[in-house]
Amino acid sequence: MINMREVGREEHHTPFGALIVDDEDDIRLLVRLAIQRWNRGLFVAAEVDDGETALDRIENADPAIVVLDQMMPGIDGLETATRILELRPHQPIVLFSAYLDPAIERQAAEIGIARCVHKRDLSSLPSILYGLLSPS
Amino acid sequence: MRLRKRGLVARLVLAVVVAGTLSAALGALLLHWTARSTLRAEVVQRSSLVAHELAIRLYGRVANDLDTLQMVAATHAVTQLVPEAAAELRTVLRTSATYDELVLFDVRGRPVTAAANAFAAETVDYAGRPDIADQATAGGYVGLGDAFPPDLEMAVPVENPPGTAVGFLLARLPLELLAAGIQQHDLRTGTTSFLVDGAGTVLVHPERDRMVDRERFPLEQLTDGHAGTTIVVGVNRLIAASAPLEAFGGAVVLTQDERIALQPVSRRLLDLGAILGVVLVTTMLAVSLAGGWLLRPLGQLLEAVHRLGRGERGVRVGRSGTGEIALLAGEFDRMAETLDRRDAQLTELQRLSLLVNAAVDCDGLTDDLVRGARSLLQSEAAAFVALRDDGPAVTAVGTVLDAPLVQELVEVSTNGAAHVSAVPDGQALSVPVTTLTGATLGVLTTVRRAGDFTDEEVRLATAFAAFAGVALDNARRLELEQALVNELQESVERRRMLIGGVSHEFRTPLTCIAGFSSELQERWDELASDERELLLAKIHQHADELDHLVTQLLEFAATERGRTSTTISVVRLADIVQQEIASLAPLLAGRPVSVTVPHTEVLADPRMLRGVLNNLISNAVKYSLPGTPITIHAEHSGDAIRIDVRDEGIGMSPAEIQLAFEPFWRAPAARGERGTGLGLALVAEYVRAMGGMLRATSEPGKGSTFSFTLRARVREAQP
Repeated sequence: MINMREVGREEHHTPFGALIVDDEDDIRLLVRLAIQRWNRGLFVAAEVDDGETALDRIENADPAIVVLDQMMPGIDGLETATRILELRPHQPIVLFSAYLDPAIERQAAEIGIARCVHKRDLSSLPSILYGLLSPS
Repeated sequence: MRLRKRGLVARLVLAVVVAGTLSAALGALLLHWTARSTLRAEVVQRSSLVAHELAIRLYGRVANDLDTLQMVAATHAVTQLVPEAAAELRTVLRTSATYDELVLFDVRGRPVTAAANAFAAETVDYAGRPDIADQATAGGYVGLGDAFPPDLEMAVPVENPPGTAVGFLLARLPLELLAAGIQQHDLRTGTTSFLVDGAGTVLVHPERDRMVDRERFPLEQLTDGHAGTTIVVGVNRLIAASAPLEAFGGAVVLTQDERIALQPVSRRLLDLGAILGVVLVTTMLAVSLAGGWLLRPLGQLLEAVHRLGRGERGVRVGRSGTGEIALLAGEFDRMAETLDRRDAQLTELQRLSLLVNAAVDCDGLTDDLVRGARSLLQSEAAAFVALRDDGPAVTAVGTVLDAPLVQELVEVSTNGAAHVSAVPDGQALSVPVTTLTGATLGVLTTVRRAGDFTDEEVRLATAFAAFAGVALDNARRLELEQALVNELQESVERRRMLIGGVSHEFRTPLTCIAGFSSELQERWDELASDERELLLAKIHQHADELDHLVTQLLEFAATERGRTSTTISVVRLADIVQQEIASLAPLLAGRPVSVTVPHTEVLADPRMLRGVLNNLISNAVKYSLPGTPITIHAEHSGDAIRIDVRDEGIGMSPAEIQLAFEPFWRAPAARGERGTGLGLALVAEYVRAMGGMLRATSEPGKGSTFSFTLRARVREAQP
């Protein structure tokens, strides 16, 4: 396990915790690095590698936003999102997937997922997350 | 051919005899008919003459009686018209028995006096006769009385003085008496003569009974008035002739039985008939004598041929006639039997063709063919020995073929011709079954315990085998086509999974490479050198991963297209294993790896062997927890080497083991492990290409062992 030191957290921003759910260690690392680099009140509240674990830990982590992979062993992203929203109906969720098509995006919208982001747009992920959390 | 000639001669003789007899009979009949008509004409003419003679004779009698009566009328007392005249009349009656009665009338027809014959049958009512008064007083009257049978009445005028009629004298006489002369004639000549009135009513007939009824003789049938001709009265044909009787407007009719009249001719006919009869009887005797052994069997044969021609089955003549006829009958029966058998076989063939056309799978078809061959060739047992790559496969009904026989049949099939051989319990007829292109599919055999197979049956079996070959070939093609379709569908499904699954596997390393390189680019100065090295190592790792994926895909594509070339060489197994473990060292870091491989040489393609080991070891790492041991063990197993790669990981269920070697299949338990799902499929392909075997044993939760074999190099024995 690679531990990157915390960098650039700015105190004047209201901190928002993010829950990262992805079975790929390096993807989680990249998301964390991107959030740290963006450095505007976002931090990684927790990282888990599958949907079941996310459901177990979401109440304790109490994230402001969930970054959710679609293709994972066990329950997939859409199923995980459905069950998270049953527990926390107003939970903002971003589906972060390497494979998105109109069918999945439509399903995501129906479930109540706030946004779908392709993994190739990793660099714009932090601003999208922040935009969702600050309606201004 | 001889038989046929004899049949023709027999028929010709018969025809001549029949024709001769028929023409003789016809000639006789013609002669008879001519003689008969001539004689009839003669008889009619003679009868007519006789009738006229009789009529004249009758007329003479009547005229004679009238003369007598006129003399009586001239007597004194009568001319006075006094009752005393009766005495004179009675005197007349006594002297002449001709009249039954004499009556004296006045000029108006009123009776004056009368006298009756003592023999008169009945008392006469002396009624007045004004009806005939005028005629009788004018010149005389002859007519018939009202009674039946009637009397002849004749009247003459009574004149006083002469020339002046004062009354008339009437005499009644029975017609019978008048006709007595006719009857005497009849007695002499055998004819039947009688009197009729103008309407044809029979008045006097020799048979008295006939006179009770007013029988009417059909006078109008006699041509030219009352001339003679043949008429039919009752049941008898009569030759009749008549002559008119002017006296009372009637006629004399003379009849005779035609048979009697023409008897002389008939007698001649009888003679002729006798001769003909002799001829006929002789002929019939000859025919019936010949018929016993010649015609009857021929007739039966003809009938049988006719029935056979109509499509009837089961027609037999049986033992019939003698000599050639019997031979012919025998030949016919054999032919009919053959026809029946062929007919049954044809029906069976048709049934089979329907059955076979309906069959869609080779196994069902084979069963049908074997059963069909057994019934078609009326055998106790039948079998089909299919020649397959993995040895002969026997489908049998009725018996189980033993191995030597199967071997014999297989040999027969290579000769390409039908073959009859003796088997322990009878005869076996074997025919090779080939496709249209000549490829041998197997041998069809039927075993018969009683009776030999005929040449015809051998030909039938050959024809059936040809038919079976086409049918089997078709079914096989159908199965192959179905298999091909299934394979294509699977292939399409694999492609779909490849695109869906593999693109995802590519996406992750690409995302990582792009992400880490971007991180390095943008935060190079912020990052510590170890952090930079870590990110660079990660980029390298993901690039390797991509390379591995691409390599696997290309390899798999090559095996699918059949383009893998195998280069078997002698390799030292231990060396290859060590090299591969070394190349996988980063992956195996932190794990105890146990390697026990003997220093032995194997026959293998080095590239493929490395591929096998790489995939099996990577797999073991992927599906087991970090730090758990991995064991690589090899040992001799016969003339092969078995290599085991064992992990203590999550293991697989029996169902998962079944799927493990399928391309693109990935264990659902794989967590965060990428892969194409092609690794084990490639392993299977490589092991097969090197002539080895591959198997997996596993227990969920305890780990899996993948074992494959390679041929060990056999060291040549030292001389």
